[in-house]
Amino acid sequence: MISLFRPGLLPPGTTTWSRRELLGLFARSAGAAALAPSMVSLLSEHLLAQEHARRSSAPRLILLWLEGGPSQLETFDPKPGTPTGGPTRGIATDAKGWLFAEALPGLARRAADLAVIRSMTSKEGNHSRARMLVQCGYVPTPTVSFPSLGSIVAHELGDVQHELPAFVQVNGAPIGAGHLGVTSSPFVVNNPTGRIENLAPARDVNARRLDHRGSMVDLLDEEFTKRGGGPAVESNRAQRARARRLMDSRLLTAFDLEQEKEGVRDAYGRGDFGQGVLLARRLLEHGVQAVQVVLNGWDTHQDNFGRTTALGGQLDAAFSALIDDLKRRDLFGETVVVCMGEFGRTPEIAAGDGRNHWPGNWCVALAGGRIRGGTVVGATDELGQKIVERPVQVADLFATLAAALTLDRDREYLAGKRPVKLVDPDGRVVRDLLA
Amino acid sequence: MATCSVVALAALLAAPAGAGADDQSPQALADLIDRALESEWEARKLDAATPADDATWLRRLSIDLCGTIPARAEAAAFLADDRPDRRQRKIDEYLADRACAENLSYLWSNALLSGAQRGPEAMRLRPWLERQFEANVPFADVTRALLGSTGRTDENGATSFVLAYANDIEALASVTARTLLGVQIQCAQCHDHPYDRWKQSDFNGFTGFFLGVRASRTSEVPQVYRLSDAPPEEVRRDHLRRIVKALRRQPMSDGEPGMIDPDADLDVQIARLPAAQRERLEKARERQTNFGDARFLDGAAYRDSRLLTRRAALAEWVTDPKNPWFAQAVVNRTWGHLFGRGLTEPIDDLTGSQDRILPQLLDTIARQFVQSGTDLRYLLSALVRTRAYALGNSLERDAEKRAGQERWYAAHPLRPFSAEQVLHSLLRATATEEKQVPRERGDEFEVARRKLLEKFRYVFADDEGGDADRFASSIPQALFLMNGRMTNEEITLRRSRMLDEILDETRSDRERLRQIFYATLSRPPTQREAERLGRLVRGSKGGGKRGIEDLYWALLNSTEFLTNH
Repeated sequence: MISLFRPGLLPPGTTTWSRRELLGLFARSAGAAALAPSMVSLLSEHLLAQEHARRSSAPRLILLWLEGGPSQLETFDPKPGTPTGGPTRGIATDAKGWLFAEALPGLARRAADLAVIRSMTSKEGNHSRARMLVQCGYVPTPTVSFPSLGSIVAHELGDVQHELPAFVQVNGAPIGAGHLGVTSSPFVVNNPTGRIENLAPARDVNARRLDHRGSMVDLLDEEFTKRGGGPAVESNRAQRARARRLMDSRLLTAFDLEQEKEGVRDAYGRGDFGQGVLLARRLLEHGVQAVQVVLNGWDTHQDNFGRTTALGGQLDAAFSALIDDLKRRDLFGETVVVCMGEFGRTPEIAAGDGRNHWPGNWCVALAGGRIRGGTVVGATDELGQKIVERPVQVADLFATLAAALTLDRDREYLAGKRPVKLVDPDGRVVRDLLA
Repeated sequence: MATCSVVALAALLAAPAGAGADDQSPQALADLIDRALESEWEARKLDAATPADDATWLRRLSIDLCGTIPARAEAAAFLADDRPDRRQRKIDEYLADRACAENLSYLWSNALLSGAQRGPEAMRLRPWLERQFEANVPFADVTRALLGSTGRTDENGATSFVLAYANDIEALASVTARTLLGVQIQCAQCHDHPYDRWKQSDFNGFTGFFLGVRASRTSEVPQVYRLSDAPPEEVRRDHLRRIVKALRRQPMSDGEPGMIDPDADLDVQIARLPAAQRERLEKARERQTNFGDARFLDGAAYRDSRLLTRRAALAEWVTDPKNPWFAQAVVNRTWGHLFGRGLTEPIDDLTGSQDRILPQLLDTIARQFVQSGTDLRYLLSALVRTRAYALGNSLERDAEKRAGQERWYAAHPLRPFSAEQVLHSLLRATATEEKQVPRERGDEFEVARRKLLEKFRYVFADDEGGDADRFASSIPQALFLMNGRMTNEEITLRRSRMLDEILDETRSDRERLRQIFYATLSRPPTQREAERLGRLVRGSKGGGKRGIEDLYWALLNSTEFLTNH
């Protein structure tokens, strides 16, 4: 058999087989050639999943990305009864008497598990620049292609030999892994309840035919290597092997939401976002290191209040269910959940009941891992127009997340010719956010 | 040793001024470039790679100039051509081809639009560029139109460039400087540049040229936009509005201008402000005076005039033959496109780069380019006529040695395909171009092609900001090629026009194999490939016919197919 298409190669230099490698190997060989279906049944899907979830102690990341710039006043920093607060009412949380907006009753009940920053601030009021800033932690510059948080986590903590991609993004346009390289870029799932594109072999092609074709490719690649194509061949070969392993993986059941109880699926919300967050939890259990789930629609220049009520409902259900679920499955302590968007919205209410872009003060909500629940950092004034306590820059947030995720923030990479630290060195850790 | 070689090079570069100074042919410039590179290799004791064979050279030329692999028959015909000037003929043929204009239009519109949201207002930029390149309009004229045009997108596609950034003139200033001048002023947007010469005031002064840009939509179906400029007195108000917006964005402890609405009448509102706030606003305005008063990057001041808009004045300055950066930026980008790496890297950082080689050579080529009347075809023609362009790949196993050879152009690098190149090469190799929306349909074609390209950009991880020389493939790419429709459905005997043609024309298995190689890798198989693949084809389950499909698939999945080598 030709090496290129044989799944299940162990990492080079592996001398002892850890439990997780054995499991991985087992899963791979079982999936690829269906050598021993009876062996597979020895380990139920559940057991396999649990093992993978435990296989490493490195924290996982779930990023709930609120695309468009979520209104802080309609989520985590309401100003009810003021001219800027609009019709949005507050709802008491179970922590220290702070208020959330009324669209988030579930999260209000779980405030003891949440840390909220009410004093995020940046200067980027343009969607694409702000998205780059807040997802990558660096002010965007055309000369360096920065990786997004998920790619950083995948690159630093993920297992490159794992069958599933280390970073999966559900919905939305991915930013990518920038200078960390394409192996850490997100695997994008556009429809959490649908089929993954190009994952199944084409019509009239089975594993055997794919192997046969693969041996032809091997031969061609050998010839190309002789003529100087080596470096390109190596990279392609590695990715083809990974793609093939993914196709054959037992762990693909992670993507199958049908395996969940109806009640659980309902709890997360039946929309793409809710189901995407449920998928995120499943992926983590199957060994994925980082998942980003995107909820679109927060750019509320018009009808801010109607739209944020609907969006808040989706966010509240999914985020609440996720917290409960992670706790129930004993994963809350090793999973950092981050909920944010690219900026906030103007305290002033514009024509058409809208709010415009406002990077001056906005919110981030965190949960899980080393995050200290029941914490509020920073405060805005009565009308929510300015920060009166502890402004937090995006670099500070990333410094804090690096600590929570056990990342080595000073690690240096070369972006082209320029040395770049993993996390913006200007950031200071916000100690209060960490347990 | 470095000093020595610089002196030697200077002497070499000076030579043409005496002898063949009036030889303005592309070949003369090509020879000059080769002499400069070869003396450098000698000084650095670098061995040059063996020259590429005809098949490799043709494929490279076709991808670089026309954006796609050569057609099957064309590859076969070229290899049968034994005229000594066949390469020169091919260069001229490609440069005059519409495909070359289209290819250049992608190259430049991608550079000009990177970072901007590619909305409908930008849609007509690429087709407009294609028409300019097809008519070989001097690049200085193209640039003048891009920067200075006013009017409707359907009448003048050049307006699409400025329109794409009408809401973000800082980005417009930055991309203009970067792409058309090779100068990175954007880092000075927030602070003075740490290691380059640019100050915040340079950035503000340069951005000032785009104050007063006005965009409006004149028609919904089809979508048409109009670009215009405000009169000078309104430009001042634009400036003020921007200051207010900037102030509002910053978290401030006291004295910020409260509830000013930048879109309502500013003068009235400002007059009503408490004294402290008014003062603060005035101060901010003073600090940013240069922002309101446009200033050229060489420090020359600009005065508002009713005869020439700010943008038109900028266009004149950028394209002035005396401008120190414009021609170099175009030459370095073009060089980078053909050789995989610019003489100066990154290709758009002429003043801050820490990685520049042979600056005198870049300067000399830039001067020749200006002398040619900024004739892009002349430039391309000269560069692809060099012996350096025609070298093979490095056979060095040592990565560092390989990198050294490649950096000094003593070996041609392996380059991953861009999204456009993958798409166009796949369409050609599978003969499925005609299943797409035809080019004649204008907007409809453009929309369909953009949609398809978006997908390819993601799948093939074509990152505009990424390193061009980094070879990396992704899982989605591998899955796309392994299981996707284009490399499966479209290559079956049932559906494939390419296989139909080949089966029709050929009588033997050997000839069939050969033709499928021409269709995909633009070369005949080596003897070993012919023998061993022939055996594998016959060994395919279901017989030789299925084997042909398998071979076709394997060729499209091979690394060589996806590499410009």
